[in-house]
Parts: sequence; C-alpha cells; structure tokens
Amino acid sequence: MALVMRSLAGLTLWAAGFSLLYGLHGLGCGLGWTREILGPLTVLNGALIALWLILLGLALWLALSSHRARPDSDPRGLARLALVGTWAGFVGLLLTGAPVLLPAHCL
Amino acid sequence: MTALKLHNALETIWGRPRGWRGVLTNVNHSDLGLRFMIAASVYFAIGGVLAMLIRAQLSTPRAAFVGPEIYNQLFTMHGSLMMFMFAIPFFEGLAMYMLPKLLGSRDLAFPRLSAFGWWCYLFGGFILLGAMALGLAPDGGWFMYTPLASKTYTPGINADVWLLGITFVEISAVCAAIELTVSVLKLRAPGMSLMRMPIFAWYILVTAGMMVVGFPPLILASTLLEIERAFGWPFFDPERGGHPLLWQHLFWLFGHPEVYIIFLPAAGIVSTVLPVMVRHSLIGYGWIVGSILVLGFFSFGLWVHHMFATGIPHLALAFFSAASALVAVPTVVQIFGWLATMWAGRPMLWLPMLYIGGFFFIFLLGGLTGVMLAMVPLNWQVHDTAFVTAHLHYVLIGGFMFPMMAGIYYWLPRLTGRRSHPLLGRLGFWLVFAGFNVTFLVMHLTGLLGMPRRVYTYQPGLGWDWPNLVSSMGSFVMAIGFAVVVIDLGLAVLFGRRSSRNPWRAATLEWALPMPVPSYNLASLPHVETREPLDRGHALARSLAAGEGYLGRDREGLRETTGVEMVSGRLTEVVVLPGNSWLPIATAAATGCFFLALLVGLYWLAPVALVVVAALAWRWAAALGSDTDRGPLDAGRGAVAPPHHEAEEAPGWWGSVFTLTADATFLMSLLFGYAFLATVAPGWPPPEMARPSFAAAGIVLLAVLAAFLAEREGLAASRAAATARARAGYGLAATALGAAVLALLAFGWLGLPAPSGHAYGAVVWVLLGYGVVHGSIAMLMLAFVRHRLAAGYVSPARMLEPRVVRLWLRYTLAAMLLVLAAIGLPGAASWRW
Repeated sequence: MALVMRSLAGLTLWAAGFSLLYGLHGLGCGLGWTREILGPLTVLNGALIALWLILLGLALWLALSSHRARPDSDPRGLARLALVGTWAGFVGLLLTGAPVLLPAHCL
Repeated sequence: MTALKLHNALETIWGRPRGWRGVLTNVNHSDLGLRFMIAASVYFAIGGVLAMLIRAQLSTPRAAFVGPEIYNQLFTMHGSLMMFMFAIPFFEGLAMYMLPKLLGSRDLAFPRLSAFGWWCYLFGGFILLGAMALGLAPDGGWFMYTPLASKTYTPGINADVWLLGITFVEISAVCAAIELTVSVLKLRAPGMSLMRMPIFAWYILVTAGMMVVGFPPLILASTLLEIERAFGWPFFDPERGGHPLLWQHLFWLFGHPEVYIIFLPAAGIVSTVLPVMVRHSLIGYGWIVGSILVLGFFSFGLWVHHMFATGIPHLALAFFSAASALVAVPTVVQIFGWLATMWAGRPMLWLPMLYIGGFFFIFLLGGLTGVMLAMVPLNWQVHDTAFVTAHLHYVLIGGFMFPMMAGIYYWLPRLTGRRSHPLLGRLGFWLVFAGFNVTFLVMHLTGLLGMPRRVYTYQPGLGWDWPNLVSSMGSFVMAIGFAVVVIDLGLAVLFGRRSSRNPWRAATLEWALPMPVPSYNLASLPHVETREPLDRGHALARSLAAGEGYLGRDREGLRETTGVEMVSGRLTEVVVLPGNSWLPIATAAATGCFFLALLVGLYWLAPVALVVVAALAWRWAAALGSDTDRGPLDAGRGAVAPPHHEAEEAPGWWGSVFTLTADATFLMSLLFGYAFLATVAPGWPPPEMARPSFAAAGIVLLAVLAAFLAEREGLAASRAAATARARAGYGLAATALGAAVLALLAFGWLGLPAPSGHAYGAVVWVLLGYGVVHGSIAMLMLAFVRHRLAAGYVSPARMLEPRVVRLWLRYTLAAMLLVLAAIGLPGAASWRW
C-alpha cells in the first residue's frame, strides 16, 4: 500500500503545485503585486519562483526517496510504478512551472 | 454436486424473473452493461443522423435546408448526444459487462447502484429526446457558454433542458464511476494483485477515478447556471459581480479530462486486443500502467487551453501551453508499448486489428494537431474555426470509435456467442475509414481557409465551397459504412456461425466463461497467479465449471463473490451482493420527478420528490446487511473469510470514500469559483458584505462538537455491544446535528445579503445550502444507525454501517466548519452578536 500511495504522491504534488502556482498568479495579479519591486524582480515574480523552487524540492525529495523504498508486495511492478509516479511529478512541475521564470505580467 | 446441478442452483440464485418484472427489477451486470451499450448505440445513431443534417446544410453555400434556429439545435444536440449520451455510457456499459468477467468475479460491487444509474440514464435521455421532438432542444452549443446560455439571451426552456437533463444523466456517470472504481479495487479473483490485473482493468480504474473528480465541476456549473436562470442569482452576470468565464473554467475543468475519460477506455481496448491479434504479450505493462496514471493526473492541468482566446494573462497561457504539450509524453509511451508488441509479435490482420490500424492512423493525426493547438500562436489563428472541429473528430472518432469497434468485434463471440461475416465487416471498416478521412481531413483546410465553426451558412466565393462539399460527401460514405457495420452485427446475432469458447486463443479470464454467459459468470472463482491466467486448453474453464475454485457452492441462496485486499489480491471477505429489486427504478423515477419539476417550474414538487428519494434510500439501505454474526465462512479451496459485513475494508466503505471524494471536489470547485469571482470579476468587493452573528456561529460550533463527541461515544458503545448506550449516542448526535443545521440557517438569515443582488450573496447562500443539505443527510444517517442498532443489524462484529456513517458525519462536520469559515472570515470586520 505504501508504494501505491507513493505512486500517487508525486502526481498529487504536481496537481496541487500546479494549482497553487496558477492560483498565486491570479491572486498576485488581483492584489497588484507586479507594482511592488523586490530587488531585480517584482513581488509576483519572486513569490512564484520561490513557490516553484519549494515545490521542486519536495518533488525531488519524493522521487529520490522512492529509489530507497523497499516494496512490501508484488515487488518489481509497484516499485517501478512509484518511480514513474514520483519522477513524473518532478518533471511535470519542472516543465509546467518553468514559465514562472518569464516576466510575470498580468496582461 | 455435479457441474450441471451447480449451474442450476447458481442460475436460480443469480437469475432474474421472467417478463416485465424481470426487466424492471434486474440488477445483473451483464444485462445492464448490454442495455447501456445498446441504448448508447441508439443515441449514436440519432447523433449521426443529426450530423448528416448538418453536413447536408453545409454542403453548398447559402443552402436553405434548415434555418439558423434549427441548425443551432442540430449541432448542440449532436455534440451533447455524442459526448454525454453515447461515448461515456457506451464505455460504461462495456466496462460493466466485461470487468467482472476479466477480474474473475460474479458481479460488480453495487449491483443496485448500476441499475439506478441505468434508469437515470434512460430517463435523462427521454428528457433530451422529448425536448428535441417538441422543438425545444438545447441550442447554445454542447458547452452552453454564458452569457449566451443565460436567461437574457436564451429565454425559453431549451437551455434548462440541457442543464437539468445532462445533470440527471451525470448522476448515472458518477454512480458508474464509483461502482467501477470499487469493483476493480475490491472484487477480484483471489491472488490477482494490482500488477496482475488485466491491463483493461487499470485503464478503467484510472478512468473511473478521473470521473469521480472530473464530473462534479460540471454538475456544479450546471447547478449554478440553472439557479441563475430560475431565480436570478447572478453567478455569471458581470453587471452584478458575476463573470461568464467562471462557467468556462468549471465546464472545462470537466471538459478536458472528459477527452481522456473517453480516450483511456478505448486505449484499454487497444492494449487488450492488440497483444491477442499479434500473438505476443503486451510489452511494457508496468510502463503503460505508469503512463495511464500520469495521463490521468496531467489531463486535469489542461483545461485552460480551451480558453486561450479569452484574454487571460500570458503567464497563465504559458502554464497551460506547457502542460498541454507535456501530456503527449504519457500518450506516446503507450504508443511505443503497442509498437514494440507488434514488432515482437506476428500480427494477424483480423477485423479487430484492422480497426486498431485505423485507430493508429487517425489518432496519430489527431494527436499531432492537438500538439499544434497546444501552441498559443497557432491556437489563436485557428480558434473557433473548422480546423478545431476536424481536430476533435480525429481525436474522438480515432481515439474512441475505432478502438471501440475493435473491441466490439473482438468480444462479439463473448457477447453473442456468434461470429460475424468476415467480408461484410471489412467492407464496413473501409467505408467508415475512407468516409471519415474524406470528411475530416479536408476540414482542416476549410478551417485554415478561415471558415468559423457553428455557422449555419456561408457565402459563395470564399474558397469554402468545394471543401465543404467534399466533407459532406465523405460524411455520407461514413454513414453508409456504419450502416453496413450495423447490418453485419445484426446478421451475426441472428444468423452468425456459433463461436467456440475462446476463438482468439486469448489468455484473459473472460474467455473461461461458458457460452452463452450464465447470470453468475463463473460457477466457482479462480486463484490467479499470473497476468495471463487462461491456459490454451480448457482445463481451467472445466475445473471452474465443476466448482473446484472459490465459492463453488450454494450457501443459503446468497449471491456471493470474493473480496480481496486491494494491493496484494489476498482473499479478505466473502461479499454478499443484493438481489433483484424495484428500488433502483423507483428511486430513479423519484429523482427524475425532481428534475422534471424543476424543468417545468413546479418548484413545490421538487422537495416532495426529494423526500420520496430519501425514503427510498432509507429502504434501500435497510434491505442490506445481516442481523446475525456469521464468523469466517468456508470460501472453498481450503480458505475461510468473513462475510463483508464483518470485514474491515468492505466495498461499501470504499464506495463511501469515493462518493465523498466526488462530494469534496464539488465543494472545492465551489470555493474555487468564489475565489475566482473575488479576484477577477468586476464589482468586487461587493457593496454589502455578510454581517455574521457570533451567537449563531457559536451554536453551530458547539452543536458540531457535540455531534462529533456523541457519535464517537455511539460507535464505541456499539463496539462494546452496549446497544442502549450506543442508541443514545447516535440519537444525541442526530439531535446535535439538527441543531447545527438550524443554527447554520439562522446564521444565514441573520447575516447574509440577499442572493440575487450580487454574486457574493449568491455564492455564500449556495455554500450555506451545501452545509445545510449535508447536515440533513448526515442526520438521517445517524437516525438510520440508531434504528439498525435496535433491529439487531449492528454488533461488535458487524460494524460496517456505523463506520460508513462515521465517514459521512466527519466529512459533513468538516464541510460545515469550512463553509462557516468561508462565509465568515472575509467579512470578519462586520461580525456582530
């Protein structure tokens, strides 16, 4: 069961992270965060990039830890499934979250 | 007991009465699956005729075949029937029919729920078809965009027919989703671990899971729009704080996963049929399972690509463009798995394989134009043109129809016991394949030449004349092809050669069943140790028919099948299934009365119908369970297992988990809508905020706490066989919950603004309604357990019902608190006593 949960965890993290990034972008635009400057970035840029990096860190940790996980039953299949799920979550966050590196204007 | 005597005994237990009574009370999965498939095929035929009328109108410029009003109804009904009445119900029917056979089970987990879903589907379809016959069919497109579908621009009941009829049918889809999910997870042959499941079961599991979370946003959107149309609550009206794009978000939150909900079962057929056709096991089973899971998740991150032209910020476009391109990867993993299997095997070009070849060709083209459309610049150029129409038909017909046809021809011997005529079937295939490509390949060009979608006519000289004529000619060829297929199938059923038990020499369990399929599927259930359990001879089939597997006996006339631990497939319980009943059709009829009452404006009748539904639900639940402790039962093959009422993880418990998951998705979608309006809609902050009452909120909190503690006490006392104390606990919990509901209503009456003035008021009243409805349902459930304690249906061993009610209660309490916070916190400054 632990491996099944692990398979779903990476993808669930992607779903939650993707929603959070999209929601934060909407919220930041609604609250005018592009007008606030934080060093070389706007507050919206900074918040989005920070959130993305945190999510990436979590997803990477999940993916790496599934290499160490030992299967409880049906060994090879479920272990591979956990690897696929967690790495897909990481790659998904990496690619679909990468647009936060673009200038975060609200137009 | 001899095989024949066992067959007769099981047929008596699992069969249905003769005549109309049998038709109306039947809950058998094979019969219901066939009904779904046949009814869906009828809807496909009707949708196809509508498509031909559309093509007849567009075949020449300035055609006078139909006017704009009728044309709008034609394309709306074509899309709605194909998506909601054909594609989903057809695969549901196929899954209902095949899954227990593939999994080595005797039926699905909740047979009465299947029957209820069937009747909802049938009655909902009558509403749509009746409206069409009366000229009142929906005419705002199958997506019902606001403000076009709002009361101002669609004043009649056409849009209401869509909103209420489709929502009624969606109840059937959600029922099927829960049914299929739990059946795959729990009702398998012992030994069949997750990774030993037939690949089709994985596809259906993921698809059903997607439906559990994919349909609630659509049901919410339809509910909100119907409330706006009926009572003027302005969720989508920008003049009063609403926003039309909220509809699009909620619709496509359902609508894009819907594409994959349709595609995945079809891909499951390819993964099942193709290995048999090429005489080689599926290569990359584990990778394909992984890719299905990934696809299931990623498909929920694409919905905004249907809204690229609505003016949303560029950064959001980039998020969804990236996700739309990424989703191609897991699809391609499956395609590589199929190609590798073909490469390693020895392809036989039988009719199912022809359809799979057609699928490869068409779906590949549809996928490529899909990646093109995922790119924002091209999307803007071809937005709302015939290019998109061509793309979606390549995806849906290529990705659904062709694999489904492969499946029908592959399983035809299983479904009918007969084989089709080889030449007629091939003729049908080539006509459909050629007609389809003539129709839709050229339609890409029509779109690139600038022809918009959903226009009833066009002027000559724009370069659209000949491509439209070609498309129309192709569509008629395709229609002739489908007619040939129907004739072929009809002839096969009536006069086809009798098939042997396993004509394709496949290795999955459905081919171990006798022909014709008995009502109980298998006389005894196998122990599965490999992914391909069926031997090339008939030894396993014979041994199962002789009752040498699990449950190969008649135990007091009970309908028994095996329940397993979800991951390992270890036998954990003997699931006792309910028999034929009037309750499903009666409950569906009462539910239909509710929707009809709303449709015709008899609002007083709607609550009456709901009371009848609640009474029937009570009767339904009361007909299940057991009033005696049975202890471990002999399951055959030397194994023992308790009946499911006495097991820890019974199907009913998991059914509640998935039902609540759907319910929670509905609530989350509503909160998303609230946040969306608050940040994006014009006219916010609203002119009048809630002025919540501390007193009412305090009573809600106290009552929620009391209900929580009282139920905890009730369940603990039930475990300790202290019946009187348990009944008191449940009684107190129900009373406390009733107080919480009343206090929540008072909270609304005392402090919330009118719902029709501003979208804020409308949303908070809907939130409040959600809490009140759920509180009332949970109260009824607590009262039910109290009654069951008195009737002796709960004991320390039989704790299923209290555990299920605990789930519902705790969810309800959490939802009530969330509702309270969502309403109260944004207006925290204006709280008062």
